[in-house]
Amino acid sequence: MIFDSYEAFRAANFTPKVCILGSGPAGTTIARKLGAAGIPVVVLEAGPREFSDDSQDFYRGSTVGDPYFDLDITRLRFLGGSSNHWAGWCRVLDKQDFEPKAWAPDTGWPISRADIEPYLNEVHDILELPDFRPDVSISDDIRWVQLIKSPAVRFGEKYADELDKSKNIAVVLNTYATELAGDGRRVTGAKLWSNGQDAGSFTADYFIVCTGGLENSRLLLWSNQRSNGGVVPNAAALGRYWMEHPTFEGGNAILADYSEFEVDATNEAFFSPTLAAMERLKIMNFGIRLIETPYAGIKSLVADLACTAPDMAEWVAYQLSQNLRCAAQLYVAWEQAPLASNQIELSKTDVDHAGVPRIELHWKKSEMEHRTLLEGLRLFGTTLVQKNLGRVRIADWIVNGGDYPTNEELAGHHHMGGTRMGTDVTKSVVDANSKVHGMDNLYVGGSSVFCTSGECNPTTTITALACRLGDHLGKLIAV
Amino acid sequence: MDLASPGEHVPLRESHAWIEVPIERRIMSFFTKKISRRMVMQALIALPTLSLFRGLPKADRPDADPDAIVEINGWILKRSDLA
Repeated sequence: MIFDSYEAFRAANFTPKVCILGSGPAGTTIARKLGAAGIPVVVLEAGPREFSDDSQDFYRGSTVGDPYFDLDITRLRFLGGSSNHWAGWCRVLDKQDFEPKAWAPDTGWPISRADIEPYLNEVHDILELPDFRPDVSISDDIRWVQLIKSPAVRFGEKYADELDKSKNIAVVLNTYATELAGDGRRVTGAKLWSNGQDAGSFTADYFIVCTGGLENSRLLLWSNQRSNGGVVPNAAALGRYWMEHPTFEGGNAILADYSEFEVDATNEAFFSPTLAAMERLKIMNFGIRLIETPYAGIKSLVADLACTAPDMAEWVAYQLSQNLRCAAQLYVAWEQAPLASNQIELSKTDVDHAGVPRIELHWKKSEMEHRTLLEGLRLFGTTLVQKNLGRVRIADWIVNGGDYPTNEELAGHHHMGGTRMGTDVTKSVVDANSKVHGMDNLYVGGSSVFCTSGECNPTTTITALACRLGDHLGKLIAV
Repeated sequence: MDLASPGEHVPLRESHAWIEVPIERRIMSFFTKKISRRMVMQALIALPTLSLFRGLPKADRPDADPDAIVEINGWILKRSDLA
C-alpha cells in the first residue's frame, strides 16, 4: 500500500507493529524482510514519489572545515532516497575493515564480515549483481579488487509495485517524524509532519531510523534534545565519528601492458592494499582506480618523464606511435580514520520549515589521511616497478604536502558514521544488532552505523546490514 | 643540445672574491674573455635541465643496484630507468 499523506494512511486503519523512517536501500530492504515475515510495517517517506525542490530544501545545511558538497545536493529526499542518484558501484567491506587496527584508534566493529556474509545472496538479488570474484594478489602489498558496476537499482522504481501490492507494508509519502519522544527505555511516539503541516503523533512497537548517513544523526540529536536524553540515553558518540571517502586524482601511471590487469567494461581496474602493508606503514585502507588516460593527457606525461628517464619516455612515445594503450590516470579514494571531532551538530541559527535545526557538519581530513594517500601511491608505484608492470608518477601536491585541490571530486557522497555500532557506550550509539544502547525498541539502519568506512562504496554493505537487521527483527517480533 | 657543464663556460666559483663583484661586471667579464653569445645562451638554456639531474642517484655508479627503487620528481622508478 502506498499513501500520499498521513491522513490517507490513517483512514485505511492499518495498524503496524514497526515504523520505519525512510525508504532508501536500508528502509526498503528492512520493510520487505519484515513484510515477508508477516509483520505489519509502515514506512514513512519524507519526500514525494519523484524529486521535488520543496522536499529537497529540508536537506540544506552548512559545513565547517574542509570543502564539502552542499548538503541538499549530496543526498536525495524522495521515494527510494539516495539510491536515486547512486552510481551502482558495488563491493562489500573487506574482512580487514571490520577488525581493530592498533595504529588507528577507535577502529573495529563488534561484528565481523562473517556476520553479514549469509545475507550476500539476498544482496545480489536486490542489487542485481553477479557473484563477486576473489581479490587477486599483485604483490605482498597490493591486490587487485573487483568493484562491480551494477545497474544502479533505484529502490523506489524497483519496488514501488511490490510495496503498493503488499498487505503487510504501508508506505506513506510526504510524511516524516520531526522528532521521536522517549523515556530513556523506549520510544513512546513520533511527532509527524505530513504535506507541509503538523500531522499529530503516532506510535508503534518498534521504530527503525533509516533516514540516511546525515539525517539519522540529525533526527536523533534533535529528538534527544527535545526528550532530555530520553531517546539516546548514551549520547556521547551521537553525531560523531562521521566519515566520507575523500577522492582525488593522485597521479598517473605508465603501463608496460595495459592488458596485464583485468579491466571492467569501462577499461578501469581497482587496487587496494593488503592488511600487512597497512599495518607496516600505519595507514588506512584505500582504493586506486586506474583509468585509461586520454591522448592529450599522455603528451605532457611523456614530456615530464623525459626530464627524468629519457629512455623510458622514448619507449612510451614509441608505444603511443603504435596506438597502444599505455597510460592511465590514478584516482584514489581512501578510508578516513574515525575521529570524534568529525561530527554532525544541530545548527544554532538555522531551522527548516518544520522548525527542526538544520545540520552543521564538521569535517576535516587528518594527517594520517595524507599519509595514506602518499604511501598508498608509493606502494602501488613500487609494486608496478617490482613486477615490471609500469611506472607511477605521484601528483606534485601530494609529494610536496600541498593543499588538497578544490576543483576535483572531493569525496564519494558516502555518508558514514554518526550512530556507529559498538560495545563501548561512550564511543558508539547502537549495539551489534543496530539497537540504540539502552533503548528497547529503537534501531538504526544504514551507513550511519558504520564504525569504519573501508575504501569501497557503502551501498552493498548497507543492504547486507539491512537484510541482517530485518532478519533479526523478524525473529524477535515473531516470538 | 650539448649539455655543457656550467663550470666550463660560467666560472662563477673561480674565487671567493668573484662573489663580491657586481653582476654587471661579471657579465662584462664574459665578453672580455671572448665567449660567444651562442655559448652563453647554450649554457643558460642547459642550467635548468641540469638542476633536475642534480639530485638524481647515479644510474651508472658501479656499486648502485640497478633494480633499486628511487623516487624522483614524483616518479617511482627503477634506478636503471635513469640511464
